[in-house]
Amino acid sequence: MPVVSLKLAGEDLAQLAEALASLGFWPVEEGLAWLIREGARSYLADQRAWEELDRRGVPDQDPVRLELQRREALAHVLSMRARTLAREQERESLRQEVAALSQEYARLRQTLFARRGGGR
Amino acid sequence: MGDPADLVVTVHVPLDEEAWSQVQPVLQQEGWNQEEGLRILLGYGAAVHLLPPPDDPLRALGAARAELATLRHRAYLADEAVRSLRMNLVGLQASVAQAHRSLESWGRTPAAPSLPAEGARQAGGASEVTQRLPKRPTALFSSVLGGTRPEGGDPRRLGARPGKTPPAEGDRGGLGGGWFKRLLGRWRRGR
Repeated sequence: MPVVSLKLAGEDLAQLAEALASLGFWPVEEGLAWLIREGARSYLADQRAWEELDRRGVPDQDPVRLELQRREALAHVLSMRARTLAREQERESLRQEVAALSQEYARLRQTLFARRGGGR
Repeated sequence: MGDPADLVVTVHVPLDEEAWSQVQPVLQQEGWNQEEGLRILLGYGAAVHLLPPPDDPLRALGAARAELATLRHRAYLADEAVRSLRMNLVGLQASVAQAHRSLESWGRTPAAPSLPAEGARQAGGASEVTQRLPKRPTALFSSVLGGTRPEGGDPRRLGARPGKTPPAEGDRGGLGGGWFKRLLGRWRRGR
């Protein structure tokens, strides 16, 4: 069976694991696979529902419309939180790398200047 | 950073053929890449099954959209910073490598003469400039003229006839050369 690797915010994973455990899913990966499958099925069904609401001219404040939009926003929040945190971690890692290299470069320049000064 | 809530965790999720057959059409339809698309679908499933509709859907939607906007802004700032830091990193790596090479060449090259040129002349020694001049000045132009030998060049190109021995070192045809002294001696003897 193919296995996919997903990066998730630790906070989100903890909440998902707790909720899935309460539904009887164990290990958590089995529950995550179920959520992905259900997410795809619900997403397609909700797309059709959204198009039907559009066709009927249902107002924006309709509770069904709001619920469909809430689901979509929450789904993107979960994805974007992981992406944002991962990118912020990368930024911190790069900052540390740049700071270390800057120090190294300053040290090398000092050494070079010292040697040139000593040679005259 | 450093807060446990900011941790990113990688999970490995087994997806069977049936799940893939449901997931793939959505990813293609929306143009999402695999990881991002799977996360969105995971979040969608969680919103449907684990997060029940609130009493005030409008407020809940506003809160979710506000959080999404904040996250997108943070991601944008982080993206910009990462792009800039990567460029800094490349530049710094090149500078550090160059500095290492300079230090290595300093380690191999003997120290330059400490006396300046004027001081060396007054002291009766050769100046730094004359020390650095090649012994054969023609060699300076040999590469420009098409010569391939850095030291002295090809004798045929420098005017030496075939079979004739090239002038010896120090006998360069100037006023101080041996042939001129011999000619001068012959002329004096003739007078």
